[in-house]
Amino acid sequence: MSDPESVHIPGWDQLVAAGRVPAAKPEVLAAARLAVSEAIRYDTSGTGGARVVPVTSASSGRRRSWTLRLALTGMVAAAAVAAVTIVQPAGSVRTSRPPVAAANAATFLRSVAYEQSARTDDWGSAPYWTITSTRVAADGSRVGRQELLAHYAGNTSHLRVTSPVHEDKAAPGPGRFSIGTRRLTWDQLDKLPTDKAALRTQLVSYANPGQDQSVEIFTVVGDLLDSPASPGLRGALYQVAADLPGVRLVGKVTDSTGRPGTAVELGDGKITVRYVVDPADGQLLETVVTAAQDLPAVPEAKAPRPLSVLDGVTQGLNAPGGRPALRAGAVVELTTFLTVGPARTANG
Amino acid sequence: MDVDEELMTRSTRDPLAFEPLVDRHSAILHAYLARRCGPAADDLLSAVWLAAYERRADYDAGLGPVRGWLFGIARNHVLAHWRRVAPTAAAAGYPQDNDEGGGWDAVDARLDAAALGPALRAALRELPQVERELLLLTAWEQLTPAEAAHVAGIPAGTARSRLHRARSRMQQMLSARHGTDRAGQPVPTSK
Repeated sequence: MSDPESVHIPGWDQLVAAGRVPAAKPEVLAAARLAVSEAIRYDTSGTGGARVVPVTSASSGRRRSWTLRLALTGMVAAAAVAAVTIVQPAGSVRTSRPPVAAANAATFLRSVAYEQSARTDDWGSAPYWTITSTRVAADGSRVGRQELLAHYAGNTSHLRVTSPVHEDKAAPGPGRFSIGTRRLTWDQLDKLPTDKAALRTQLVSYANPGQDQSVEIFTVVGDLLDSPASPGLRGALYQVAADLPGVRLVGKVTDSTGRPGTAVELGDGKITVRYVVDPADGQLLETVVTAAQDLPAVPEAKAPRPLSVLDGVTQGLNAPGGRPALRAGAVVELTTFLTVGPARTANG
Repeated sequence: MDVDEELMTRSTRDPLAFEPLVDRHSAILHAYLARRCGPAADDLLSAVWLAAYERRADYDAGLGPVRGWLFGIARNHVLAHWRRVAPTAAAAGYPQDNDEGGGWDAVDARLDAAALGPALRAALRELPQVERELLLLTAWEQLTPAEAAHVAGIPAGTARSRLHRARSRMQQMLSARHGTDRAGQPVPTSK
């Protein structure tokens, strides 16, 4: 057979030159090596610890009803969510420590603060942080989404909405975590103080101004608990929450997916913010904001509006920014965290 | 047995043997992904390596060198990537080439950006998809025809004849437009 190379193509050199691309950035190559190293470490550790597992109930060590999960995320989402790989670094394996039982909120929060700060997880160099959650707004609209927030400039952050529509918004570079009024990078999170007094001061600066300060700090604590905050920072966050005036222990509850947890809550008379926390390790499972009094409707609007119009309640708005009138006790917003943790890749 | 092959074979028993392969081939795999998927290559690279690691036991030295096998896995990720972004690309107004899941758009955009002559672009566009892919794998990835065959999942003999046909067609089309003869030499223009 004749050699294909023997046929000369005019402009071949031009064609070859058109294929030139810049060399891969060192951090991109490092991320690939890290991904493989972690997989190897898992396979060779023999401890059966934790590693790439599909995002299923097994990843959190809890059983979850299939029907419930499908109902929550929708058919499309089920496929997309199941395809994501999560890394649970060695050390994040749930211990069989007995759940914390406490007489009051402060005791409970200090106990989980200890559990969180004692974690040995090392996700400081993970390429991604993933948050898979479902959110129900005041009008009953439900959104299933997965945020893959990149740590490094070489990676791409993704916000994938899986229901009601399937959408993947990609943005180059490190992802930012919404913490109160601010959007912080992973590196900025690492710089937050782990001393509780200094941390409290910092959290106040992230809070919506003019609102009840305790509730605002409580909300910001929740924002940080699903970010890649270090174990030390997580411990300090629960310590800050434990000292907030008005925080109340609700007791044992199950979240909307049936997971058992312990609820703590704090209200300002207009709304009540409740956290459902896994008492075994302090993992935040669900946040529920309910109306403490009748709340007027908020009309849809395209432009951002002042807090005064929102009657101090920034939660529960649907996509076009509106909210129906709510009776006291109604759910303003419910967010369930199905998985929170480091991920190796953004390949969904 | 070459180094790659030995590492691959050993890695089924000793996973650590797989690690050096990452350093040996990441740069060329990334370039392959970047040519076809742009910035998404950064993320795809890790995904390709994880898939290769998980599937390392499937590697069959009898079918060709490790490099071709790795490119084959990368190719699957490229196709999957284009399937994923297809609706977005369509919404953004990019023309869709459904025959190959939109992959041609990225390649064509690259050719456009490189200010490649319109005749060369047009000639490439007119090739059947498999021939174009084989041609670009040899031009850009510097793969041998046998390796390119492995990547595209066709027999080596078929790949060689299709590559030959592709090059001949390119030559014909470009000679006609560029005023060059079959040997690629410029034809004096008569005025």
